[in-house]
Amino acid sequence: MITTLRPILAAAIFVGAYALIATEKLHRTVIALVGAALMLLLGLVSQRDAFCTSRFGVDWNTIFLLFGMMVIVGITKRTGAFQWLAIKSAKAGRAEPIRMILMLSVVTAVASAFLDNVTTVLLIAPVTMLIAETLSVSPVPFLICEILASNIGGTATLIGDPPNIMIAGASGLGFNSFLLHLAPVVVVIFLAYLGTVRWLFRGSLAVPIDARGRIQEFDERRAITDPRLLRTSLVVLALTLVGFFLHEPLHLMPATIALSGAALLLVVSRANIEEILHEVEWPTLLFFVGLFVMVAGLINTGIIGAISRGLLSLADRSLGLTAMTLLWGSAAASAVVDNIPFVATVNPMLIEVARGLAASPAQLDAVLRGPQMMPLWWSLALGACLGGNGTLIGASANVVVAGLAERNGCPIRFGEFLKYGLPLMVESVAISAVYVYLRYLV
Amino acid sequence: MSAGRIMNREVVSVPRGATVSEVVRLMHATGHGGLPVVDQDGRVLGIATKLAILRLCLPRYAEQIGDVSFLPADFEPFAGRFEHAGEVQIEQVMEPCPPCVSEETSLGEIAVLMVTKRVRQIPVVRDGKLVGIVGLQDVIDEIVRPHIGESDAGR
Repeated sequence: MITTLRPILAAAIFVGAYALIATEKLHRTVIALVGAALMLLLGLVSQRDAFCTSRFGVDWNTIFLLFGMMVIVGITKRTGAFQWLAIKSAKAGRAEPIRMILMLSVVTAVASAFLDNVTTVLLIAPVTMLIAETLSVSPVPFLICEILASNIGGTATLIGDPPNIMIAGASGLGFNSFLLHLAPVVVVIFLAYLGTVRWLFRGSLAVPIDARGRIQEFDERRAITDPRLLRTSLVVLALTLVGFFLHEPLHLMPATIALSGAALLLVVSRANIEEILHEVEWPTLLFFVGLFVMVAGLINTGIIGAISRGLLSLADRSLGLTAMTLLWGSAAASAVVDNIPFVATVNPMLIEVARGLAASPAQLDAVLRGPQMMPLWWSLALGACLGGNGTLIGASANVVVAGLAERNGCPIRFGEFLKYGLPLMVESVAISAVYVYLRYLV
Repeated sequence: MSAGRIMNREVVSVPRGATVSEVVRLMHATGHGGLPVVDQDGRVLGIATKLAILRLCLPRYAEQIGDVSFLPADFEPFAGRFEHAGEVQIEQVMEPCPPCVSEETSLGEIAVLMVTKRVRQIPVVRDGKLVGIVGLQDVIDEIVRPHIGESDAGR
């Protein structure tokens, strides 16, 4: 009796938390922490499993990788570098709004590939609104495009988007694997995005003649508030990137690289640790902790295993069908619910699939990073990251920019976003499907 | 020393329906930097401050950018926002739910409130109704007075 009740309880807590997160009545971090506490209090997962084991419970790699990058960005953003970039790219658009949108998209996508998407758009969007107001055009098309570009760019690397960080933690795949397997298709997707945006907004953005020269008068050099700190930050950022490239031969986890970079920058910049720690998004980090504990409850009570068996039998019959289901399913799910809890739930299922494919438990690590799992991991990554572009609530960057626009009196309507986001999301996932098929399934 | 002893009893307040331009005119005439906004029964709804009125005239994104020194000296686009600012109702601009004290509240508590809540005026209420106001200058005078000659302490 007790044993049959446990999975039901775990599932109820998880589904309840998921539903509450969707209603947005309570902060998602509070819900995740309450769910985690319930799992622990009811003994659905032991404290040891929740906090002290690898491949089960809290993935400290995800937490400390995010933390390290948040510290590095928290210091770098004080230099004014992002404002400089935004103004520079707007100027390069030579007073032609569509060209400016394309230039700002490129900057946003590249920055998002290496930094947190939310941070990137939070820094670029305010300058964008200033540029749009200066040109007397609506900032909404600019902001929509920056959201889309940010989510596409973030897909390219291990550190670009939380789903990728979590997938790296679950699979053991390294920074260069993500770069080799995701970056090529993301470049194609992004080029297609640029072409589509150009076509979608053709002729709809007219700037009054007298407003055209105004942007050229902006002096982006004055946006750099601290040149010394900028040099320091760029050097540390470059070193951190080199560290990411080399983390596998060095036998270091990405989290160790990010933490070392953060520590180094804290020392050389002499930034006030208290102030910098205020910049860290603790709610996001604790959301991850709560989520990992809840998912540990699902794994421990056998729910993940049960669902995985279905996935495994599908994978046994047709790897291609499994990959496509995962890709389109993840994209659809991530368009309507937060992709972070989604990936946190699917990751252990894929580990179970790998366990089923492995001839012996000793081979699990090799199978996790082996050719059979490749189409599955990359389908999950592409689907979960790109799916966020489907709706205004699909990813954190979307929600944050929508809030920013609302407070500035130019709200982004749900339908307006859908008009551009959904077709571009479908386009990007379709390109991904072709890529996954051609590269891993033929 | 308590709030009742140092407060200004002839407090200038504005009704919730007043417009920003009316409030600015009143601020100019009285020299006060912050005026309590009250409802029909004299209950304090908020404080209209000069800083809050200035914020109304600026886009939010300007605050998020923080340093806008890259703008040219003759930059005008914000100017369009000033035109309509005067017609806005003060209720939408005021700092809502300001810290209020009673006449018995001590000088020390008021000083701590001003520093921690970063406010320059604190309304004094009796039975929920506005009866006076304590300004930053009143508190400074009270704190500093014992340490300066009687001759220059008089107001």
